[in-house]
Amino acid sequence: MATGWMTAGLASRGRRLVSAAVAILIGVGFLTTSLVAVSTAQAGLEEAVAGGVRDADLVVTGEDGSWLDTDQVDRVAATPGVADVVASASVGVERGSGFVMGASVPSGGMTLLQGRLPAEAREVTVNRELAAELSVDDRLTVPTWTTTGTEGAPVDLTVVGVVDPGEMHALSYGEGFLATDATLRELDPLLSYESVQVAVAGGAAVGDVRADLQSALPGTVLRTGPEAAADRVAAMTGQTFVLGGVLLGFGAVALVTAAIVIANTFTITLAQRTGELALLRCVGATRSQVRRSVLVEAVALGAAASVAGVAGGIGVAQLLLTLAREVGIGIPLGTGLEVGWVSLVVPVLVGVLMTVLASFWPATRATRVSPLAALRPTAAPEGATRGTAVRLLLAVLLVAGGAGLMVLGAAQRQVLLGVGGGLVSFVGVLLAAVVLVPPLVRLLGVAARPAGVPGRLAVAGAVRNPGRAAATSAALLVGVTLITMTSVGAASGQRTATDEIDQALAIDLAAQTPSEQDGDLPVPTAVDDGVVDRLAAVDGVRAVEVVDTAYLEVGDTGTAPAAALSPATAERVLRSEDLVDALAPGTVGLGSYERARYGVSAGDTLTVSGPGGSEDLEVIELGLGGAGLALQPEDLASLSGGGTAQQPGAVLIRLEDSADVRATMSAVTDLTDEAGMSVQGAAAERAAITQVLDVMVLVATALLGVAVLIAVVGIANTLSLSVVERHREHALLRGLGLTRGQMRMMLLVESVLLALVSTGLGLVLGVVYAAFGIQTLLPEGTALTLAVPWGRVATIVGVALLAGALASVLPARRAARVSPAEGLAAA
Amino acid sequence: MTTTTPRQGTALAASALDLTKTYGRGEAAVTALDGVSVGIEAGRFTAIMGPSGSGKSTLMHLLAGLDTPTAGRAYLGEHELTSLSDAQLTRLRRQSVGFVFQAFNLLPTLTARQNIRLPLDLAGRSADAGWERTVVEALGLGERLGHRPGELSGGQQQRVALARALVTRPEVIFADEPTGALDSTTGAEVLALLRRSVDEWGQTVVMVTHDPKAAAVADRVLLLADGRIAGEILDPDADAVLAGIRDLGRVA
Repeated sequence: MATGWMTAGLASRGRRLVSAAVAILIGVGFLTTSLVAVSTAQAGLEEAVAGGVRDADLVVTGEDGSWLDTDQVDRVAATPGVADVVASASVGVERGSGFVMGASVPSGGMTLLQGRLPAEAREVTVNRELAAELSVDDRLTVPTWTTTGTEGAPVDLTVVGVVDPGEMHALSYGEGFLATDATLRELDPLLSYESVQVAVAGGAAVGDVRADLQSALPGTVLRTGPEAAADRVAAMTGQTFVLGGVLLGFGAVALVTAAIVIANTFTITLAQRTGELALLRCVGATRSQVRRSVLVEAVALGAAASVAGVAGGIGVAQLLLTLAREVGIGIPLGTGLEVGWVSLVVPVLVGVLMTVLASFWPATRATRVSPLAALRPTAAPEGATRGTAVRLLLAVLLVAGGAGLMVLGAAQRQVLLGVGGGLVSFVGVLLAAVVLVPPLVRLLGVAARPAGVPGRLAVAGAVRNPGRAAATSAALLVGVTLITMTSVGAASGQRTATDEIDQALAIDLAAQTPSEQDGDLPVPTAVDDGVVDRLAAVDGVRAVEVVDTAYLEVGDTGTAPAAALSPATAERVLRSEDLVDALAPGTVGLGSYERARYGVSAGDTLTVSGPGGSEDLEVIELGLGGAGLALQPEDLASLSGGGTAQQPGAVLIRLEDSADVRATMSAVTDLTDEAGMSVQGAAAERAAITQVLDVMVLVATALLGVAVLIAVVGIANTLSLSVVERHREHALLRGLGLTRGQMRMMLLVESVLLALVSTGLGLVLGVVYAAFGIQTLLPEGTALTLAVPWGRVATIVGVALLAGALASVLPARRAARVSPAEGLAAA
Repeated sequence: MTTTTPRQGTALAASALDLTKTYGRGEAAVTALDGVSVGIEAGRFTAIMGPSGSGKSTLMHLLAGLDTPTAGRAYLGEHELTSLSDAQLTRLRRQSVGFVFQAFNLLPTLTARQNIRLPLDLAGRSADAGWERTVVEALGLGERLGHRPGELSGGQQQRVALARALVTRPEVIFADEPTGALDSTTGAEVLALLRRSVDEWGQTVVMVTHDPKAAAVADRVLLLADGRIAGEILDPDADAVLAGIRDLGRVA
């Protein structure tokens, strides 16, 4: 038994290994949280998608995703042995300017908020969106459909309750109601059904009924409830799969960062124990025994920290679940955490394996200690220069190869190639860090000059062991690179997306007056000045412009509204300056919808005619939504022939950048509804995209923050171990007249320098990777517009500075306590 | 209490009054210095000798303001060290004390010139260029100023340390076994330079050593045993010092 001395080190050096333990704990905790979150979301989704289906005896669907008609459903119900059927269908009916969705009452997954579910014909239970306008006992009048697909007689429906249909239900996307099958059939006699769930009567064999149904209904697919549930989940889990992939990807990043910190810690603690290990060799320990002692230490440390990490991870997952329920994130969540054995065992295994792997190289190096080293006075271990050339060559090859792959990936739109290239080149950068970091620290160190001698000593200290400086920076580098990449990527994606929105619909909001028939062509009514004033006064509205409109003939496709948009007006209400510049007499601005409708694209010629004449106009990309074609005032005047055909019939509105889009839009809509005007615009879409991307960046940043947290532990760790190593030097400095404050300043500068260099490198790499990434993901022919969110970049730099400063606190405290005599007396 | 009386009419560069230093507590307490009172004369070369554990290094650390005594008082010039805060002590060390240690004298990351100027830089003072040149030339370091400690021999490193101690023209230079890590020829060179600092430049030097040959270079040798002053030899030679140590063994 040699375990007594093998584990003695662990017990006595516990404090030095704390940072390694913390790194393992955070990494493993993150992995656990990710696994638990994914399995919880998966279970929630299963419940939502398949909850109702799973309990059915049999489920009937059409072949190849086709739907069933009313006749088929009736035949299912009439088949002997069928006790009950729940058929799910939906129908859209017109209501005002939009559609309302009517759907069958699902067999599960919904929550009744008020009143009851529909039981009788013409009773409906509305969803929350519709409940905003209707309450229980209100009437909802909607037109029915005829068998020929035209509008039939209206029916009065009575609201009997309010329901939350559940996240995955068809009604969760807009206004809608639940109704009985009879009501739905009245609304649409050609109703079709997605599926029919069958309850088999007691006494009848499910197999027999299945055979009977199969023969009665050719062209349908019959499955048992569990079979149908499994199929549905399989079709729907793409969403959680992506989420899981992202989370596990971040988990992997956290673990890689942790591994760097662990390897670093072991290297340093073992370097400090050179004498001790040599003594062991002197008294007869073999190399493999020494190595085993280090690995035993790693296994014990890895296991203990991993178990703690799993516990912490589950706690965080529970917290997140509670938070997600509170906020509502659009993913169905089950009632409790799904903690499978995978979430318990895998992180522990990964944590131990990672620790052992990370300590393997330091352990091997430790065995090279010669027994004689015990007899020599310990010299401070300096970074080895051997192998630097080989390492550098390898780094250059990796970076060049990786860059080549990324270029190829970007050119061919091969995402996998791009990701592979990114990883390969990043490994190259990490290898080259030994050569890159010291000169960069020296360069930045110029800024530390005002700090005097402590500043100069800090620079020297930071670059003294290039290997350690590089390893310390590596952990932070990983985090900063990924955060920058995500931020720049999202900002650029947002710009690209909003550029496209601008071309589809250039205006935030456009309100137009109703038309009246006057002879052949409809004529717009003039907008009420009072309404314009009130619109301008709405909170969040930046500019309001009234423009002339007229109805014109476009080619031979019929009439369309057109608005006069002078460059001066456009400048005040359009977001894109490029679009303003494109405006010129003889052009007609069309949104993507109109361009598709008229079958033209930018640069084509479109013939527009009106009471005043006919003109061939050049198509440019600029949509005004409901306000119609965008013409120059003189073109509109000559085409409409002036006079009463041309009226100030539209209001173009631009919102403040800081506006609460939802509130502003609803205030605007209230005013325009009152005035009988209709509103369209890109504001909502723009806000939605911005919000989605903002949330994405926020989530990614929060997740990667874990990596940065580990990196801070790493810096603090390296620093405090250096403090131990340089005990004597610090004592000498104190003896020669370095004050405690100067000592603290010295370590602060050293730490901040390392943090800043990693951050700078990470920012550059992040931007480059984001550029390659966007180029690879963009469809061919789309111009790359790289947007660097400077505010966010400043935040990243600020956080890194803070992290560096924070990391130096404890080591500096320890260094300042060094007594000038004590260090020298040990000579 | 053991006391030695300095010769009348000589100014004191440093002195100890009933200095006591105890390490540890209770059963494990070790008294390194036991009520020592001593005066260090200015412009003279004083050696402190004694066997391992006699308290000679402790005495030096207390006189130099590197450590604080358990009881008693230490003076450096007119300053009473025991009443100073850490920051005040640090500033005083910068200005009034020079150090030469046995090893780990120099910061490995700085060049010889940077090491020499370190105390001045720390204090934010500029070097007296003429004096600095004189010291560097006298110590034969002119060619080596751009080198880092790793590129210098042991003797050269000690000379850089001595230059650093001299450049501030301190009230006292404390040397702790300055020849301990050197071969005898190089050691003799360093001792000669210390001697010269006293004779030519009027410096005060206090050297801790256990080498009688080294102690013989001094004007006065203080013998320490078991934390007390055990004797004093004025204008010693090596034989006298050896004899003094032998007596010390008999007394102990």
